Amino acid sequence: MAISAATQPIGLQNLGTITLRSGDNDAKRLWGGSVRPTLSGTPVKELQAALIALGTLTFAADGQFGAHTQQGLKRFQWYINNLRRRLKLPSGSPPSSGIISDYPAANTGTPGMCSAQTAALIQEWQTGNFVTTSPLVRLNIAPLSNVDTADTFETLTYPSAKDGEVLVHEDFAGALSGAMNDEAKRAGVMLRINQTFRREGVPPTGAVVPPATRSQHLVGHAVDLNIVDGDTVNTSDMFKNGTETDDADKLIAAVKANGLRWGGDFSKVDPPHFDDFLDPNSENYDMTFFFAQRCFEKQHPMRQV
Amino acid sequence: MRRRTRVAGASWLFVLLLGLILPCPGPAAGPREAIEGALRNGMGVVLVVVGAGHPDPADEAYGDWANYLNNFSSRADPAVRIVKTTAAEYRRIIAAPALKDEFATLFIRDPAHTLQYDGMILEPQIYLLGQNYALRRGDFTPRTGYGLRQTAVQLR
Repeated sequence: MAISAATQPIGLQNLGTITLRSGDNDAKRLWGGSVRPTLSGTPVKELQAALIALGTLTFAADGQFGAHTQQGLKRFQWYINNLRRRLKLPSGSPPSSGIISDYPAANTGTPGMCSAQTAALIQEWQTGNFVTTSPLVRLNIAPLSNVDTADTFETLTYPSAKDGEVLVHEDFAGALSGAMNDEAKRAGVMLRINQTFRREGVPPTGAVVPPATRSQHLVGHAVDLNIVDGDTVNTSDMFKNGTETDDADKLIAAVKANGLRWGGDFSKVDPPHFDDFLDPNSENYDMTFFFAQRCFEKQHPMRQV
Repeated sequence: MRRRTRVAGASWLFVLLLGLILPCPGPAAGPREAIEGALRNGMGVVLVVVGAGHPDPADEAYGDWANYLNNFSSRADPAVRIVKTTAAEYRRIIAAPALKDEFATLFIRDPAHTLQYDGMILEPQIYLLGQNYALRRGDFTPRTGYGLRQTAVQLR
């Protein structure tokens, strides 16, 4: 849109008192919920382009502030309020070469709306070549005394992947390396991991049955494992028949006392499963799912802890 | 003119032969035919019995079962045939063994040599044990405690 002498330019960098919101439209000069004939520019399109670059909007910029733009903006605001790390990634660089750094808390404004304050935050990220990244971490289990991986454990393909590490959400990493390992040591058992984080829609072909779409594994908040007591591997079948070892029962009770859920308590029992439960019907689940799955797909680097 | 006719005749003969060689599309093979066909060809069979109804997308037991089954399926030995059926269909075509659960898996080497797992398989190791058994690889020891029990399959 050409800037005429009678209009003032408007962009993401000079929103002033205007707060971009759902329904705004560059072509109609509809910004902040009102038609503004004295202004001209493409602030919605600039916002969309910025959100695409930040990694929270997955649709093309078209200058119309619709549901996708609102969702992309909410994702960025949620990210700022809930995750404390971002990825420095110069334009054109592969994500795997990015550098993870901490960032301070900031006021993000009303969710789904872009005020001048929100726009300034977005621009600060853009200027610094920062993008949103994964909430997952590479948990090195080698130093843990009572946790190891089963022969069937599959190391996924991701930057700097190493044997002896598992992918989990950073909030769950502490539970696995702390309470679970400590309690396993106390009970004198080993925790042999079969799986932690799970990719959505994998395998891409050859699936026999549809996968669960809101599992705790998809957000890195779960682990499947067998409790190994001496030479005895406590299997699902043993729990089903009540023939598991006493130490396995002790471990489970202690882990539950630390606030974790055990799949043996579920209505459809799942004895190898433990998680710290992220409500699958919550916004936190949706957001965590988006960043964990998308950043894995984009091969973002992840911190080792 | 005569030569052209000869060429046209050869073309028709080619089409006719091709039609005889290529398999004719018929009704899709059901689980029974799939099991019998695989065993006849010396393959092992992994018969997966799936409960009816739509799973809860947040059901962790279902999610773990589906994940390990799909992973196994994507990497299973080409000498095993994975056949999926419902509990109702299973009961219609198989007289024994009886199902104890709406979900089950049978690793069939031949009708007289089968391992049965009742319920959802929640440990990937079980698929490897079962596959090895179905393919006559190594010895199967029921003491492994993974819930596999030896049985025989009797088709109706």
